[in-house]
Amino acid sequence: MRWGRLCATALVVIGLVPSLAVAESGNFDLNGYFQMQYGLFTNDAYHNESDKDGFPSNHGDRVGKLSMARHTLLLEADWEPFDVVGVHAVFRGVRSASLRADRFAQTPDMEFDLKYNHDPDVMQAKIDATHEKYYNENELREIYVDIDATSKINLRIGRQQVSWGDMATYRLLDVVNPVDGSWHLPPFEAFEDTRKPLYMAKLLIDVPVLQGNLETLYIPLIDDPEDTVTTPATFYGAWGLPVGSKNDYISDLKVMNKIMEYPENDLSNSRVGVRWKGILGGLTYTLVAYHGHQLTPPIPDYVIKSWETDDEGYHAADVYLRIPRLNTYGFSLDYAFESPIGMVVKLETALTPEVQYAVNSPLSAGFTTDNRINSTWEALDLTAPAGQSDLRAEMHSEERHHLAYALELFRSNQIRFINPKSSIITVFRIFQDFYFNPEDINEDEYKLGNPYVLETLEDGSQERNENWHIVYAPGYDSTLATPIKTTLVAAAFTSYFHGMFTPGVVCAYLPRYPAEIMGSEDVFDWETFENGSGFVSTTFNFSFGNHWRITTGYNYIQGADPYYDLGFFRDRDEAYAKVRYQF
Amino acid sequence: MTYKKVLATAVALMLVAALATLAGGQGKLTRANWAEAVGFKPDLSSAPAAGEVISAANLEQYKAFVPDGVQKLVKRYGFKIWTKDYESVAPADTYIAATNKYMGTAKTLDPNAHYRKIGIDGYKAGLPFPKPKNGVEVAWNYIYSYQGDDAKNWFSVYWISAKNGIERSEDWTWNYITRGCFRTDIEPMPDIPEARAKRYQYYSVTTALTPLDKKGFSAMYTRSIDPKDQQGYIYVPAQRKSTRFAFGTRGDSWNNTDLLYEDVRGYMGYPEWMTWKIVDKKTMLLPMNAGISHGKDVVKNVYDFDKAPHWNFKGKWEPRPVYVVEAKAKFPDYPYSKMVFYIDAEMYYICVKDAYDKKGQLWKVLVNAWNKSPDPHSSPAPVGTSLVVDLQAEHATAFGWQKSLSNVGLTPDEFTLANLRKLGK
Repeated sequence: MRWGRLCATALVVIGLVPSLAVAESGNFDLNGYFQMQYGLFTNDAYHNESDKDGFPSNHGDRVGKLSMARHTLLLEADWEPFDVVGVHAVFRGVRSASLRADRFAQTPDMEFDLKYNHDPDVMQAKIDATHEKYYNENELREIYVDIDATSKINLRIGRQQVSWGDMATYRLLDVVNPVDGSWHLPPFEAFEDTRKPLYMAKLLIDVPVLQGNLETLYIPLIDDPEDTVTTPATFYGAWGLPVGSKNDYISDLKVMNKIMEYPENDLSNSRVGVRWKGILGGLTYTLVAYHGHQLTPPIPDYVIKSWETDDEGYHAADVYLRIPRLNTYGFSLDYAFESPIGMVVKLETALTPEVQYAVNSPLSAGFTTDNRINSTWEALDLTAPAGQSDLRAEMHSEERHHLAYALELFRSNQIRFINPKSSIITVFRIFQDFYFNPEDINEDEYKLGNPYVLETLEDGSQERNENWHIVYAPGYDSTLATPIKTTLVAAAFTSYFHGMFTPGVVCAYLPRYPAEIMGSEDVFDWETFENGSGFVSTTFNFSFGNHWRITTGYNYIQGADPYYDLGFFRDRDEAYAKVRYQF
Repeated sequence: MTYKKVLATAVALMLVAALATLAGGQGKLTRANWAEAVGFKPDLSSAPAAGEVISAANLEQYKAFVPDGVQKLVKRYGFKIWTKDYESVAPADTYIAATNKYMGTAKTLDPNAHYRKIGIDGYKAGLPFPKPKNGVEVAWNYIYSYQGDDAKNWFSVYWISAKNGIERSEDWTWNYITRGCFRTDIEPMPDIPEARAKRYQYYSVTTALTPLDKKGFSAMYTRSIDPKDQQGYIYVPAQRKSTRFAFGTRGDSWNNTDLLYEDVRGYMGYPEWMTWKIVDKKTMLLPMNAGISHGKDVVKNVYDFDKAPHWNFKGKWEPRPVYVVEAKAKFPDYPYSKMVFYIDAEMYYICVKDAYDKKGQLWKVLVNAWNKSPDPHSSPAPVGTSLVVDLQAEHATAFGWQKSLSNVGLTPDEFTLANLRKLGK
């Protein structure tokens, strides 16, 4: 029925194109597109394998199975009732096919599998839950009013996207809008499509005398709370973070629900930010300060478990996840060198003090001798008979100071034997993340351990340093990361036939931090690179006339470790195609 | 006796006047004498009669009047030249006054100097070199030809294949300050203080209006008085970001058209980047006073989009005094081995340009057709249409003008990063 409605709507819209064109006259403009987007998994190394406990050790799906099937109708309207007032609105309707690759999705409101018996009904329920929650959409994504109070002051009020920062693919200072990557890996999609717009008031003040402008944001957080943070990548399936192995769940808990404690619609949760962007000589610079929330990952806050056990001895439990506050401070610089260098160099940095990371929480089993409280658990009902109260335990998290920078070299090149007519754009980026203050961590607190970090003691012996429990992959709270993270990106694209054909390639590589040599100055060795992960994404864009746009391509993802960085997605190579009719 | 005194006085006065005129060099430029005083008088004796239509059939007869590249268009693609009578054209009164005021102050510097070294000194405003003596002076006359001080434009771009017709089209706006310095029409004159301080000559912002996947894309850049690369930013709607962009690449096409950035207006580079040589000075047919209608709805009346090669346009060409100037790049990575410009000797506009590839083969022909000024006393002649034909690829880009307004009072405050952001969505 839904498909029928969608097709009917699409046909009506396409049929209305001539009349829509009429609507483009005057001060009202209506545009839009209908788009079909399909992807097929292509990794023949995928064999639907599971470990001895039944946990899936392969992710994605078999060759030829859908990685996505998404159909989008987007309508964009602009209206200028007065010279100084404009209204902009974007509606997006999405219908997607359900995907078999979602059969192991860790949807938040479903019982967590502790043994995967591959029950078809359970798997289908997860497929359906993911499809229902993430793949369909009818949303007024943007609706805002633009008011030019003066020629120098612009006020934009309403649901909108704001993009700060100058790095196209790395969101150091682009911290305002959260992201929804549930339907595709975000690097493979335009930020415009993956960002979640928010209601806000944006004031833009042009200060020509200082060659700059001041942009201030006030976000009252009146959106649906779920839309105010990045969709946790652990919650969905085909493009989510995969379920770990059973070893990660040494516990007597059986998680029934993951309950997000989203920031409530309360003024105290408002977000505010300010950015100055200016020109100083040949330099462009920005200064950013933003008081918001940690959009990802959500932090396990506490767990409530039933005092009863099931047949297998597990306690049913609900895990509550919170979204902590986060401040971001940063700056960016860019400079264009004249030809023959002809290169733009950009530097962007972001400091986020007190970023919180989930770590493994060693929650002891059972009760203390008084059957009421032990060091971990607190009885919720003290009037209940001994041992018959639900229990609550606080979960652990760590705070780190996080500093990140990105350096980009951008050049437009004339390489005539490759492309005699158009330039070839090349981009090289390096990103590095640094995490500070590990000394603040109580060494005795966390014992589940990081297998990657060895520390040399005074007597020369080595032992695991179990304090480096930083979760790098958002939302994946059983994954450990390192104090330095490096990402290398190279990209090239050009166009042929006067822009009718635009091929491009983006390569990303994340060398793995060699934990075994922590403390050594020799941080980047060959092993670092061999153990890393990355992707190669090729795109081939075709433009036919004013209406048809077709994109095909291939995304190849590799990683030495299936539970580290992009290795999470290493068995999700895909070929894809996108056909858009725009009007 | 009295009569003799009167006669002697009159003769003396006439002599004084004549001497004063001589002392003034070429005498005071006026609207009436502008055409001959800054260039030369066209020889109309053997020029095609008004109403003559030059086609492949009679091209041989008028070959001497038709630029080489346009001859190719006529022979190979059936391009037709509708002729009209010559009408002299002069810039606005203010520009004429500035030319008079600063006559003789401008001097070219060593034309063989490094391409980053400024090649003119003493220029204040107006036409720098009436009756140019060499190619460099013609080039400077083109650079500082009368364009008004600023303009707003609305235009359409058509990508055209000789075989398949229109491939696609886009609509754009283009706002620019032509004269940040050396202004003649709008206060502050002669310079906008900020522009003078930064040595900015030119401010420009282009914004795509259609189709949807380009809507909101904007490019904003400035050009210096000095022969530096353009500096600027682009706004990318899909990223909602304005970001610095390198505009200095030689041979980079504008928006995947047949037009290079340097081809805009005929030549968007600096005189210092080229060596210049006058190869001829004669009367030729050029599309001045072309009478081409503006408007998105009428562009189909201007261009014959239906019939191959789908890019021939109908405009008036008239016998004009023309400097034929050859330019060769000083740097090795330039895509053209040489360019031949057909520059109107009255307004110093580039009306036709032939561009040759590295092998010396004619590669592209660019035609800029100029209309009459809506008010010759106060505003410049607007462009009627522009056409670039890639003869080797059998492909063209046509620019259909929808609307053009000059001297509207743009200020540098409208070319800021904040405004670039506001232009996007």
